[in-house]
Amino acid sequence: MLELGSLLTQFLNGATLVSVLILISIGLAIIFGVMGVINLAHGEFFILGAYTVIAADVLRLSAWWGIALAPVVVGLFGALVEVGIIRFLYRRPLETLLATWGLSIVIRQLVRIVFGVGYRASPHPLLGDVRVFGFTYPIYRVFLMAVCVAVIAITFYVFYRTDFGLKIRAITQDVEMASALAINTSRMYLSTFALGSALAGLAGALMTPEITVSPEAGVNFLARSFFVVILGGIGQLAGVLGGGIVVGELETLLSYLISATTAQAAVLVIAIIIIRFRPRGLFGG
Amino acid sequence: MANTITRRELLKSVGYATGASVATLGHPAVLRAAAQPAKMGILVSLTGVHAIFGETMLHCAQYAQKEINDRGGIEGRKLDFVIEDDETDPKVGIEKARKLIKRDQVDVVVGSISSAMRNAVGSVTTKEKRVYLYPTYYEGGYCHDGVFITGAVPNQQVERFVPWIMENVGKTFYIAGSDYIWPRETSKVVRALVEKRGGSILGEEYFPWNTPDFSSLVNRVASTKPAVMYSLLIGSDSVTFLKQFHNFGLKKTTRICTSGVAEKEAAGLGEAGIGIVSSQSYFMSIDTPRNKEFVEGFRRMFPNEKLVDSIPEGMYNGVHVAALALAKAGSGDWSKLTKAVPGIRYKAPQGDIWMADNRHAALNSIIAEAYNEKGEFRIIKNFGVTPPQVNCFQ
Amino acid sequence: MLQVEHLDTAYGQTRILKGVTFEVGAREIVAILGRNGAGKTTLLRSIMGLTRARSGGVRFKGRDITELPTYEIAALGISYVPQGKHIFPRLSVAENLRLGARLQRSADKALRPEVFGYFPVLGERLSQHGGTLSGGEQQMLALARGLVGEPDLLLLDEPSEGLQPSLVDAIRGIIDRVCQERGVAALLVEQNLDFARALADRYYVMENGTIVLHGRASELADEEVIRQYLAV
Ligand SMILES: Nc1ncnc2c1ncn2[C@@H]1O[C@H](COP(=O)(O)OP(=O)(O)OP(=O)(O)O)[C@@H](O)[C@H]1O
Ligand SMILES: [Mg+2]
Repeated sequence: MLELGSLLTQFLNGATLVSVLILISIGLAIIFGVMGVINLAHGEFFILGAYTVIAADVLRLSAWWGIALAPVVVGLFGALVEVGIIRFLYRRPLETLLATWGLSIVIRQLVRIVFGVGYRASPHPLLGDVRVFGFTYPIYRVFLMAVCVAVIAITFYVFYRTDFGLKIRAITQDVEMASALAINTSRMYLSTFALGSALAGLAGALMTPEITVSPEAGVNFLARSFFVVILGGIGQLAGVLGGGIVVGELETLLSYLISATTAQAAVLVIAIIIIRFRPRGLFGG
Repeated sequence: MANTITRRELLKSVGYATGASVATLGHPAVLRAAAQPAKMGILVSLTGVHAIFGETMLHCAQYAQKEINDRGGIEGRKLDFVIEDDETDPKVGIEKARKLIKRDQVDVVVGSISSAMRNAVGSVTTKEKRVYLYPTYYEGGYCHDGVFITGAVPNQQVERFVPWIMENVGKTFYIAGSDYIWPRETSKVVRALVEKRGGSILGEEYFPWNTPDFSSLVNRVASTKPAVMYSLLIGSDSVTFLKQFHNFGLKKTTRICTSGVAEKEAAGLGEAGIGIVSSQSYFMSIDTPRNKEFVEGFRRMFPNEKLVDSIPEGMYNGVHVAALALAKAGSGDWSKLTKAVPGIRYKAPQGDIWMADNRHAALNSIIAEAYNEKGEFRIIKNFGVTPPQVNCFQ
Repeated sequence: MLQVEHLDTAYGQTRILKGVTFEVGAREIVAILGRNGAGKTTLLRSIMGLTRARSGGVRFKGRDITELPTYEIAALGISYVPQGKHIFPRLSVAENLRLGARLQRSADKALRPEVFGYFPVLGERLSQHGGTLSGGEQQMLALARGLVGEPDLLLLDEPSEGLQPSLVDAIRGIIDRVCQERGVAALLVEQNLDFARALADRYYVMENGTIVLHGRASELADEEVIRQYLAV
């Protein structure tokens, strides 16, 4: 059963899930770290990305257009949400929980009105296989991983090597001092929220061929992203990498070895054990 | 516009009142009841994950209501609906069922998708002695007084299907399902049929709700190389899995056969759905005048509804069966109505159906193949009516 | 340079500043003295816009800044070195300083090496995280971060607090040098009378949110009245 080919495939399956989970979770983690906002509508931002691809298809544009437009569309939508709602709730976690939960319902309802309650599909942009070490693997999944890795790398670069990232990190650590150093915090909040939303939207668009596209589908990934963020250590970008790898690979490898129900439960138990001994997460100081 | 309606309604009620008074001479209480509308409680999921089915179920029920009222109602009584949203949450379902019975005093309750919801609603209706019709295909075995089922049970979905598969597709099966009772019970029936005919089950697994990634399953199927992938995953899990199965290119070697995919799921699959073979008691593409009339009339009333599939059709049939039973019993009285349902025959869009003595409907067994990315099916074989086999265990 | 007029600030129902009025001239170092809880930190925060004044006003270089957001106030050339350091603990020394340099009005906003002339110890620890510096080094960093922005006005909140005497002297020397060499004005909140006397040109004494006494710093030497206001 554990022949080399399927083991390698399984590893790549895990890597796909890991890279997507990280891409979604980074937005969640940045928004929480910078603004103290727990965005319960993050899953809906993800699914809005998928619906951007569906909309592109309705407009007779290819899925590639959808994927390219999704981060822009969802990022702009995130900016609107920031200005219209989040702005009034900075550092009030309880209120933001309520507000973003309400927002998630509103988005789902809007999607239902615009796209209907049913499942939607759009043409697959890139069917076919590539050969990896003599075994075949769907080419789209390889593309998916490559884009995720690239975007994650760019995000890390922006975070740790640019002026923008420096400002974001300063705000995360001491928002008053940051503003006393001439950092326009509300503009930074706006761009952070838009950036986090854009990343979720991109992930959703990329995953369109691999997931069910329905108004309710966001929650599947939201729950796991929260897991990733908590496990990795809240407020730590590097933690998201660790959390994503643990959750994604563990779930995929375990569900290959034992039943999927047991595997998903086991991941939860392992995560709880880790949190028990490292309450601030794998990478939390 | 308002004038004509008023006039027509007036004429109707005069006519019915006359008819009723003749029929119930000497029974003033019944006379009063007869003048009042019959009330049906429609309990569906309009929010939450099952809203995708619930909305069309409601519309099908409303279309049935319109048909009934257009033909003069139930023995002259107008049919009224009280519509409630169970929010895809059995706890809410229980509350709403209580409300329908106690506050709204409905004569009969129709609705629900999942077995959990049916058990929740059924527990209330049986206790409160109110008749309840459940329209969704399920695992079978639910036997409680006053609960009648117009959805298919496993033998109706697979008894004809599995032999057909073994003859036309292959003899090696891999079974995957959502981790709850319907797939597990259905798979027992599939397994028995396969093994009796000398086929083999190469694997059988179950997945929690909302699994985002089925690639491990796909990987295992790829290495065991069955001829048939029998999917009992449902709803969005079914769509996610079948998309990924398609993306990994496995449809070239393994055929998807399923009793969990109908038009709605197929629409969510797009091109990934093409070639899937499904067994249901209803498909929208059934080529009979009765079904054409149904589909066209329904679409006239709800132009935005693109797809009807077996669950909403079960709902439509449920409303009609309930109306026929109410007519036969003369009222929503529990013991009369419970006795009235078995034996009812109805010319449904799927073909003729009737209510068997075991509280379940004799339904059609139809095999069809999804042939385009819009989720439309082409009928491969219609086996006609299969009586329900039910071993009561719930 | 800085005029504060009838400034009133409250936290909730509690009035903390009750009509504070004073000014800081160009190139002048002014000390604010007062007991714990007198409202000195609140005063600096009100000037920076971190705590909003109820009434009264603040003018900087002739411009009314009372209602401006903090980041704009800072960008006009006011550097705030808060009490208790407030350096960014998980940013490196270099990053902390780079953020300070954002205040420069010159286009390049580069971190000029002269700063390490004042703070040689920081030059050796550029890549170390702020949080891992010793308390004294952190105070140096906070001060350096305030200076690299080349401000016109420095707001210093008890820079000598909790430091050993040799460090207090070093910091006093640096502030003195910077203000002399660059012509920077400073508003210095202090409880250390000797420190204030050595640096300031003028002083104000605050009690219970009002200015109760002011004069030339040279008068601070043997003034019994001041002892009276500052004694615990
Ligand atoms: N955020 C706040 N909320 C409520 N009260 C506050 C707040 N900050 C300060 N205070 C109160 O305002 C008063 C003045 O505080 P402030 O920090 O300005 O005093 P200070 O003169 O700087 O004292 P110290 O010399 O101890 O630093 C104190 O009584 C303090 O408790
Ligand atoms: Mg203070």
